[in-house]
Amino acid sequence: MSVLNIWGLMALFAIPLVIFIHMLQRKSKKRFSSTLFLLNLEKIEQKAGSRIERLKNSRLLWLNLFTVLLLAILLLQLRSIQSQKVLKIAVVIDATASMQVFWKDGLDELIKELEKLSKETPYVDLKIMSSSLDERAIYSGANLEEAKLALQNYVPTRSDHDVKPALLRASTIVNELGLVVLVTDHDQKVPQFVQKLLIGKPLENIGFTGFSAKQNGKWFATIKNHATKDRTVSWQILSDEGKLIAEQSVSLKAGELKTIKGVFPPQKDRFILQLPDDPFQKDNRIYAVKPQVAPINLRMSGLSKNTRKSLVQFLQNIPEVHLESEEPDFFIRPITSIGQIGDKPGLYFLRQNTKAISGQVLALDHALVEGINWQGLDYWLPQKDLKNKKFFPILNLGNKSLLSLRETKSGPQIICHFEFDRKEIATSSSMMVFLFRCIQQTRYNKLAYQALNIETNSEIRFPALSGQTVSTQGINFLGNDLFRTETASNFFSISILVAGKPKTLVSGGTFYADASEGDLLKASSANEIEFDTNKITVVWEEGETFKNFLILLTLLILIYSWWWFEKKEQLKKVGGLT
Amino acid sequence: MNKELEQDQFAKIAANELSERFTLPISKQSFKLFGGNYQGKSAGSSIDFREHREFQYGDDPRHINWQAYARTGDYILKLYEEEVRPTVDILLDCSNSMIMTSNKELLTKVLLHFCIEACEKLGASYQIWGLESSNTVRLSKYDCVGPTLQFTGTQGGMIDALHQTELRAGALQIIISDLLFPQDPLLLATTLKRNRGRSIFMVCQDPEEVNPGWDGDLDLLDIEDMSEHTCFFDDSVLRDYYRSYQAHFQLWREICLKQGFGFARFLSHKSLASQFEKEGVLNGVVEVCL
Repeated sequence: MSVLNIWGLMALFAIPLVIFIHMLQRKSKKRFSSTLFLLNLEKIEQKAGSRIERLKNSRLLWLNLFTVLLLAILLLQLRSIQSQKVLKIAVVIDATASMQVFWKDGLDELIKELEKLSKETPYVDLKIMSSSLDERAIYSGANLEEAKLALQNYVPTRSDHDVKPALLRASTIVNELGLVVLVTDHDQKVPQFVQKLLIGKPLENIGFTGFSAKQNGKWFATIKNHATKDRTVSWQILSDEGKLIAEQSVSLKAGELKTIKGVFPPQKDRFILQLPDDPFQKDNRIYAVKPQVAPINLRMSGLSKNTRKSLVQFLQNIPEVHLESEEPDFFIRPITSIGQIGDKPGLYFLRQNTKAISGQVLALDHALVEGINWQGLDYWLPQKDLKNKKFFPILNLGNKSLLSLRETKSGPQIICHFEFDRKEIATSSSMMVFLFRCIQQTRYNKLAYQALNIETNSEIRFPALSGQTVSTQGINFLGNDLFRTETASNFFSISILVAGKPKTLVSGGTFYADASEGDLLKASSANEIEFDTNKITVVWEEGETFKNFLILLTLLILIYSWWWFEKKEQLKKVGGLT
Repeated sequence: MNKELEQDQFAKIAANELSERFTLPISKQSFKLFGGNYQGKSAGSSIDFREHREFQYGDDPRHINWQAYARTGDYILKLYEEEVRPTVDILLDCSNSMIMTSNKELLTKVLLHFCIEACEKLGASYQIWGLESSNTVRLSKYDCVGPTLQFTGTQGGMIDALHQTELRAGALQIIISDLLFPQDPLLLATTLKRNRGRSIFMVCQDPEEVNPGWDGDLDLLDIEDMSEHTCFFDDSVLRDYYRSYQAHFQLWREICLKQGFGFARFLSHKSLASQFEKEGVLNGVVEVCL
C-alpha cells in the first residue's frame, strides 16, 4: 500500500472539529409539559446551560465522521500494489513491401505462435510495431483477438530499410527481459536478443525497377529478372483507360537488368506500362506521364555582346526557358540602387567604379551556393557598395559581400556585388550552376502547370502551391506544400480553385522502383521463437484489495450507526404504551 | 362556526355513536333511587311479580300475602320487582393539562359527552362536576358545550376539589382525568370510597406525555402553573422519566384494583371505540350494549 498524497492526512483534522461541533449545545426550545412532577428537576436543571455537553450519538455525527474519513482516504490517494507475472512480448513486423506477398499466411503463423506463448503465462503484455519507426504502433494490449484484427488491417509498404532501430526500441519496451520477435520474410542479421519468425519462401519475380521520361516523349524503363533461370516476358503499353496499345517481349538472363525504351503513343501524354501478373504485384505496372516543367521567361539587359552570347548558349540548354518574353519571370540586369530591383526574381549586379579584388571566398550554408567552388576568380567590386537589411549575404570575400539574397514568393532576388558582365565571371562554371539553381528555384515558385513521374510512397514539395486551397486525386496532401504519393502505382493530379473552378496544376504518374524488394529469391521460412521461463517478469500493479476493504468498512460503519439508532428508538418506546 | 364549536360538535357525534355500542357499567352496582325504569337488585313496588318467599326478620310486613297466610298459616311474602333510577356523578378534571394538545382535548370532550349520552339513555340521574382545586363547580349538560366549559385550573391534587362537591351516596362516580398530579392515589381512593359508590377512572393520555422525545437543552413550561424550567435531557434522564411515568400509573392501577374501581387509560391519537373494546370492557370502565 502506498500513499500518493501525504497531505491528505490534513483532512483528519476535521474529525476533532466535527466532534467539537457536536458537543456544542443546541439552542434550547420551548416545550409545554404536564409531567414535570415526574422529573428530577434539580438534577436535570444542573446540567442545563453549559456550552459544552457530553457527546451524543447521532446519525449526523456518524455521517460527518464517515465523510471526513472518506475525504481523507480520497485525498491520500491510497494505492495497494500487487505483483503480477507478465510475459512481455514485442513483435516487430518487417514493414518492407515484399512482406505483402507472404503476409496473409505469415499472419496466421504469428497468431498461432502468440497463442502458444500466452498459454505459458497468466498474463501477456503484447506490443506489435512496425520496423519503420515513422509508422504508428500496430497494437498494444493483451487481447489476441484484437491484435489479430489490428494485424489484418496492417499493410507493409515501405522500401528496404534497417530494422535494427526498431528492434532496439522493442528491446527497451520489454525492459530487455521479455521476448523480442522479428517477423520478416528473409533472413537477416539481428542482435542476439531477437528471435526471428521468417514467414517467406523463395519465389521468382520479374518487375520494373525504374522509369524516366523526357519532355520530347522518349521514355526509359528498367526491368529486372529476379530468378535463377533465363526468362522471356511480354510487356504491354496500355492507354490510361486500360486499352492495349502495343505489346512486346523481352528476354532476360537470370538476375539480368535490362532497359526498355520507347516514345509516348501519338496524341497521348500518359500511358501504362505493364508486365504479366506474378506474386509481387507492386513492380508490375508503371503509370507514366509526359513530363512538363513550368516555363520560365527570362530577360537580360545591360550586358556586353560577348557575355550575352555565352549566356544565351547556356540558357538554351535549360528546358522551358524562354528569352526576351513580354512578361519576364527572371531578370539579369545591372542596377545602381536598391530601388531599381522591383518585386521580380533575378540577378541584379553592380558595375560602377569597380576594381579587382581576390582572396578567400566564404560561402554560407545555403542551397543556392552550397557545393559550388567560388575560389580562383577575380571579383571586380565597386568602391561604394549597396547595402540593405532585407538582403542577407550568402557569399563573402573577406568583409565584403559578393552575393546577397532576398527570398520572395516568386523566387530569389540576388544582388551581385561584383561586375557580372565579364566573360570569365559570367561563363564560369560556378556562376552557371548558381544561375541554373536560381532559375530552377524561380520555376518551383511559379504557379504554372507541370507534369512529372515519381516513385511510389515518396514525399514531394510544390512551393508554388503553398497557401493555396488544393484538391488532390491519387496523392496524399500532408500540409502546406508537402505531398506524398500512394504506395501503389497510379496517376495523380493536384488542382487549385481559380475563379471558383478547379484548375489542374500538377499531374503525374508513379512507379515502384525498389529493386531489392522485388528480389524474392532470398525469402525463407523459419521459426526461432522459444519460450523461456526467465523471460517472465514480475511487474507491480495497483490492486483492488484495499478498495474492497474500504467498501466493507463503509458498510460496517453504516450498519453500526443504523443499529445504534434502532436501539435509541426502542428506548423511547419503553415509557409508552405503543 | 369557530374551531371550538366544531370540536364540540364532533365530540358529541362521536360520543353519540359510541353510546350506541357501549354503556356505563351500572349492572355491577345497586342504586337506591326509586322511580326509575331500571330494574334494581332488590324487591320493589313495581307491578312486575318477582317471587314468593317466607318472611324473615326485618322484612317489610306490608309485603305479607295475607291470603296465603289464611290458607297455610305461614307468613309468605309476595314481592315485586324494584324499579330504580341509576345515579351517576361525572367528575371532570378541568386542569390545563387536559387540553395540552388538541387531540387530548378532543378525547376529554368525547369521554365527557359519552358519559352524558350514556346516562341519558339509561335514564340515570347524573351530575357533572368540573373539578378545579379551589373553583370546583357543578356543571349542567349545557355547560359542557362551547366556551362555557373552561380548562383553566391548576391541579395540585383532586382531594380538595372533591371536598367541594356534593357527591351522592351510592352513585356511580366517573372520574375523567389524566391523573397527572403528585397526589397519593390511596388518599383519593379512600375519599371516593366514603360515598359507598363505585368509581371508574377514564384516564386521558397523549403521545406527548408517553413519548415526549426530549433531547438536549429544553425550556419546559409547566402547563398547570406556567413555570419555566431549563432542563437538559440525555438518554439517562429520559430513561428515568419513562420509569417514573410507568411507576406512576402502575400505582394508580393497583390502588384501583384493590378498591374495585374501574381503571382504563385511553390514548388521544388512537380510535376510542377500539380502546373501549379492549381496555374499557376489560377493566370494567364501559360495558357493551346488549
